[in-house]
Amino acid sequence: MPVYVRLEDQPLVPQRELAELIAQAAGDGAVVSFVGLARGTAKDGETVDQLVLEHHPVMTVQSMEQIGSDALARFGVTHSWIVHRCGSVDSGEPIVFAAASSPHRRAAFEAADFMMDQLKTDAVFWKREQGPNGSNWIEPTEADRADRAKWDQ
Amino acid sequence: MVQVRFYGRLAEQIAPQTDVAVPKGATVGELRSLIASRHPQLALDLASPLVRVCIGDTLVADDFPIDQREPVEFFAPVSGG
Repeated sequence: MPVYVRLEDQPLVPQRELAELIAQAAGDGAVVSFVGLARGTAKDGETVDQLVLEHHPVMTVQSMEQIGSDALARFGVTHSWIVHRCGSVDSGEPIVFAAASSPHRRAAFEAADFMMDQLKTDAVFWKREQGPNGSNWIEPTEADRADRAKWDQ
Repeated sequence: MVQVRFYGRLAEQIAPQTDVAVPKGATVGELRSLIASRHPQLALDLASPLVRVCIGDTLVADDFPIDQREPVEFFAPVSGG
C-alpha cells in the first residue's frame, strides 16, 4: 500500500513501523524515517509530564491521508507512512512516525521532511502539555508556519 | 437553531457544544460574528483564518450557507507532530 496512515491510541513502537515499511519497500533503494518524541520541558522551561493529543473522529485521519498522498505525488516516493499518537503520551515517548521509501535517497529525505512540516500545521490535532502547574495548549509557531510555507514557494 | 461544536482550546474557552439561533440563510462568516459577539474576548480568534470551520466532515469557507440540520464545527488552530 503506497500510502499508509494510522491513528494510534496505544504506545507507538517506531522500530515495528520501520520494519514493516522496509518489508514492503522491496525493490526500493532508500527508506528515511523520522520519530517525534514528547519533550519533557515546555518552551518556558516548565516540566511537562504528558502531551495530550485530541483529535476529530473523521478529519484527523483524513488530514493524515492527504499529507501522505501529497508526499507520494510530489516526490514520487514509493511509500509514505505516517503513524500518529492520540490521547495521553508521557514525555520521552514517541508521538509520530513519518517515513518514506523510494528508489533513491533524496526523494525519501524530502518526503519525510515535507510530511513533518505539513503535520505540524495541517494535521487535525489539538495538543496540550500537562505538567505540575496545569496544562497549556500548543499551537504552531511562526517557525512551523515558515517551514510549511517554504514548500509552496 | 444550529448545533455548534468546538474543538481544542475553543472547547475549553467556550463549551464543547452549544446551540446558536441563526437567521435562515446565514453564512458561516455570520455565525463566526454571532459567536464572537457573545464571547468578545475571543473575537480576534474567531475572525482568524487559523480557526477553521467544518461542516459534514469538509472544511468550508466563510460564505458557505448554514443548513440548520447540520452541526457546525469550529477548529482551534490545529497542530500535529
